[in-house]
Amino acid sequence: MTDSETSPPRPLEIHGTLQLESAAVEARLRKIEEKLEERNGKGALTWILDVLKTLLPSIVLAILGFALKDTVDQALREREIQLAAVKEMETLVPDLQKTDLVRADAQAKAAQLAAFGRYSVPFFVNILEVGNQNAGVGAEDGLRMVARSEPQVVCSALQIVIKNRTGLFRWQTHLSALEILGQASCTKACRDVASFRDTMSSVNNYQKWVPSPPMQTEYDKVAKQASDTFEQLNRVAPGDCK
Amino acid sequence: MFQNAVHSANWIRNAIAAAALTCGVAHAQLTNCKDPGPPDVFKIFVDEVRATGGSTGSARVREKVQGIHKFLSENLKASSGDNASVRDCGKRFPSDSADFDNKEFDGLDNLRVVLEVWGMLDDPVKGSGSLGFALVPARPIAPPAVYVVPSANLLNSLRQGKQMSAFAPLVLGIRQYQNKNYADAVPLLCAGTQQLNSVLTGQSALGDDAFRTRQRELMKKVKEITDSAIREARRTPGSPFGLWNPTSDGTFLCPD
Repeated sequence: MTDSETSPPRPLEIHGTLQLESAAVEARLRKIEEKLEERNGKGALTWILDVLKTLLPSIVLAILGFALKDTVDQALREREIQLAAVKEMETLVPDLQKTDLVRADAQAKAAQLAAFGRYSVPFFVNILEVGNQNAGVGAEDGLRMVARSEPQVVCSALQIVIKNRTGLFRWQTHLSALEILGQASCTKACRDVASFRDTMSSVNNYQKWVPSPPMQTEYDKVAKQASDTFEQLNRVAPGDCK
Repeated sequence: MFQNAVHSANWIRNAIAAAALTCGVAHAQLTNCKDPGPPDVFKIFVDEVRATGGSTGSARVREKVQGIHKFLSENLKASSGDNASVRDCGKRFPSDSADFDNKEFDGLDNLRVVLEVWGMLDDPVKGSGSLGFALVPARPIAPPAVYVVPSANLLNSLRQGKQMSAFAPLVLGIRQYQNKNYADAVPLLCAGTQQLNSVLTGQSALGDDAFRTRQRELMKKVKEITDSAIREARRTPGSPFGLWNPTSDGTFLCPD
């Protein structure tokens, strides 16, 4: 028999001291609390962000809608006015084209059309292109009349005329456009006028720009007008012509 | 509200139109040509022939007026040949020579009209009256290039094919010269000069003194153009004008 089997059990005595360090525990607890708070904070932020993500398009749309409402309303209203103006002009345009119209009457009809302002400009350009002799004079006067109150509209429309090189406009329309561009002080068209003057170069070349080939005298007339218009615009705003 | 805006705009437009009409009344009274023809060819516009005085409505006067118009058109067709298209302009008629201002000439020039003719029958019984001519290409060289030729008997003058056959080749020649087609210009200028000289001289000379004086001024300019055209045409190798000899003063004489 061994001792262990025979000897009675001995009580185990542990000697030591249990020291509770309150500061360290508090620090650890604070860290844990901070971590927890941090986690709680992040969660709220995430939640708020999620909500915002969902709502953002609607908010942006609402803001844009609010901001654009007036613009859209204005555009719609302008469109309505334009349609009404076109309807009224439809009756005046054929009157301007009548064969038995004397020049004074054509000018009066054109003045009536010009009262529609910017909306009359495409009509006038078209009359320059297809109209009869007195209607053409009226259309030129009408464009001058509109140019006195809304020069930009007339200038832009006539710039398109002189920039075209593909036979959309007759040489007569180029001539009228150049003349009015100068009279209306369309300084922004200065470079286009200079380009027109410099690139038309000869009657043979210019014939490719227009539907019906011009003769020498007609080419000379357009070339002279291009030079005169450039001079006019250069006098008004030399800076724009460089 | 939109309706109100449109109505108020109409008011303004009507007021502007009324003002424009009032301002425009005193200006030129030429209507558009009823049949201006194709854009690519030279044209001669024949306006209305009108009878003045009290008997304008009678059938006899109307017949006479129509006769003059017919002769005018036929003479012009004969004298211009294939070089120009003669167009009947219906009721177009100038109230005064001054209707042919710069704007009118520009408009005609842009339509390639070289000559416009109109007639006035003052005395239907005697047949006296006048013929008006607007020579479009001559405007830059002899302004205003509008001539009214009085005639004791319009119909007789036209039957003889007088001034009609002079002005048509003359203006076509001037236009060809301006277009630098010198070889085409010379025969037309020569023909026009000779015909016009023949009606300006002699006992049966057309028109009055004032008309003839102005015509001589025009002829002086045309002579300069003709010489210049011959000189330019002679530069082309093989040109028939190379055979023409200049006179002692360096000018040329058109062959008969």
